[in-house]
Amino acid sequence: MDIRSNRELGSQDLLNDKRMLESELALMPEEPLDDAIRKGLEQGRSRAVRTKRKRISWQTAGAMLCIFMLLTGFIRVSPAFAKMMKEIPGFGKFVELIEYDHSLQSALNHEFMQPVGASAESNGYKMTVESIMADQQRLVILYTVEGPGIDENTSFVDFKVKNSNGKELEALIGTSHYYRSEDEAIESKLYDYLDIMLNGTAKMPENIIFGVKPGDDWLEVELSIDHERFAEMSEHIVLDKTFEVGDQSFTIKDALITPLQVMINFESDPGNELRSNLFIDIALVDEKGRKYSSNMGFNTMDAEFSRQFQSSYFERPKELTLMLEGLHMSEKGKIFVIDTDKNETLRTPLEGIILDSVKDAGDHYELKLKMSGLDDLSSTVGYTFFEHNGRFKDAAGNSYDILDRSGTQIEMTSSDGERVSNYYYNIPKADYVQPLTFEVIQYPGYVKEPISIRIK
Amino acid sequence: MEAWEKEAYAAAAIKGDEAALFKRIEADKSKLYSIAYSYMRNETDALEAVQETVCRVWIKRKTLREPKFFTTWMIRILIRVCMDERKKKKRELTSFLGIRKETAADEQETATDSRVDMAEHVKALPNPYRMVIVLKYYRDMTITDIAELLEKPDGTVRTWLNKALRMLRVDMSQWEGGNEYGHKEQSGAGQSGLVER
Repeated sequence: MDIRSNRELGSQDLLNDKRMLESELALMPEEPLDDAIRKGLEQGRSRAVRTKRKRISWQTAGAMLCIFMLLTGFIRVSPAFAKMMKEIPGFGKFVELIEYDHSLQSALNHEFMQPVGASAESNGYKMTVESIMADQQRLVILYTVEGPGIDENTSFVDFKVKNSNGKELEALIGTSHYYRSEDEAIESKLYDYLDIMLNGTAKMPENIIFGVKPGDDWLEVELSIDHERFAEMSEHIVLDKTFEVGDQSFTIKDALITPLQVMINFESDPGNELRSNLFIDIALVDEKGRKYSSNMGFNTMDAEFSRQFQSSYFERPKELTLMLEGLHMSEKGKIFVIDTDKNETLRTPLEGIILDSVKDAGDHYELKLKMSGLDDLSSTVGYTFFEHNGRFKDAAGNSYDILDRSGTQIEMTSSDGERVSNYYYNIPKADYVQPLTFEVIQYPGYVKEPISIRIK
Repeated sequence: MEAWEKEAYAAAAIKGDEAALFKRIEADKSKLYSIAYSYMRNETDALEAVQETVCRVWIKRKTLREPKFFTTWMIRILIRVCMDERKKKKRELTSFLGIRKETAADEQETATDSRVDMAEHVKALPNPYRMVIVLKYYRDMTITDIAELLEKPDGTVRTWLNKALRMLRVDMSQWEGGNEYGHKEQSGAGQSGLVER
């Protein structure tokens, strides 16, 4: 910017202006200022209530993994049963936590819940599994953690979940559900649930071992899952219908409706030119206009993939229609080039995606990538920015592994009205020749085009 | 308020004690207001910036690890709020510049005119330049203090100051003779201890 003036300004002008400023400041408006501080505090309180944060971590044993999720679009219901449950001491918190998940609410209303009450204790820490909800595809573990330094605001407690043979489940696991209103007193207990969604082909185990590590030790309990409860509770519909969105072609194979979710299997046409990342606002709608949204799924949309929807099981609708508003997609063959020594982004598929920081984490480096400046539609999606278990190259052409301990961590924050997503990737410590080049799999971009397909 | 008191209030505030937070913010209120006012140059905008800052402080209070860095931390938030505010006002500013050009053309300049001129020139600078000019020449902070608040190297702050002065077309050679940019470093007076270390 060039500011033109008809004459040169001198230090005297600056000094005059400063003196003027000082005399204005001498009349500091005491009362309005105190008022502004008070209003700011109030505003903070009410804004914090609207601020949701959620950190999802994925654990996977198999190669099949999907990295897309949405934080929006759940239907909130507040039926009488949930209200009653809320009044059971300690359980109200869980009811609040699952209020954002129609399937879980609906399941709770139909008493589709298995009380557990199993605890493990060590060194002043205590973990209790209050109850579980399970069907053939999804398992929800409602638990509390208490102990030194743990309270309702604790953002992440490490966890593990294995079958009785000690093998990790092939599943998408969500944790750190956090939807508290800031005006309530902070409880000295962490309430959370582990949301385990099995990959389509995986079978729900009879027993699982669930552990958390709030301090130095693991606290573990073994849980048995009552298969009889849900044995007969499913509906399978074969479809094989083809549709196009954003010039990309897809086939709906079949749908499986169970108490905690509806799973729909799709197949992408191998001839699709762009990389499809995610359907926009995909939902099932029944004859009464009730909407069952989708926030999870398995596999990238390159070949066979599935989407999970909020369950319509207990509503027992006569008709179901699949509706979607468009498609998130990206061009193939893009790269992300960074200098991890200088903390610089040299090439990025999109302006708002940069290397934020490089943290020395002992035996490896943790890269924090920041995506900002995206519109509302783009910023609520979790992207597989780098390929899982992928590799990258340094300037000398040496190839290295992206380390993958327990999946990608994406942190989505929406405080201060700005939505920012942080992506964490680990790379080994090595004598890199800068810069480093990563192949980009998914990045923000979309087309809007409404589609509807009858399911039943 | 004594330093130890400030620290105690800040520590309680971080843990969620709202009364302590209010007390702690109040202890810095004139600092907050004077920076906001120096940048905004009007009471309404300055108060708005303070309010927004306090709001963000409330939301983020649990992320502050060291109670003794409360002031620096809060002023950093304020600086960001002030600079954000400017983005919103950019459109108004553009139209203002158009008018100003015409009035400047009639070449009637009294002392008040030159003050208004200077204030408006500073206002029209790009965010970081405006901020460094305000902190340096209007709030008398040192380069090191400014660098710490903006989380930039000293060199960057120096470059910004130089560029800002060039843009303002201000010749600083007459600024009370001193060092750095041919002017006297005026740190101290009323501002010491702004940046905790």
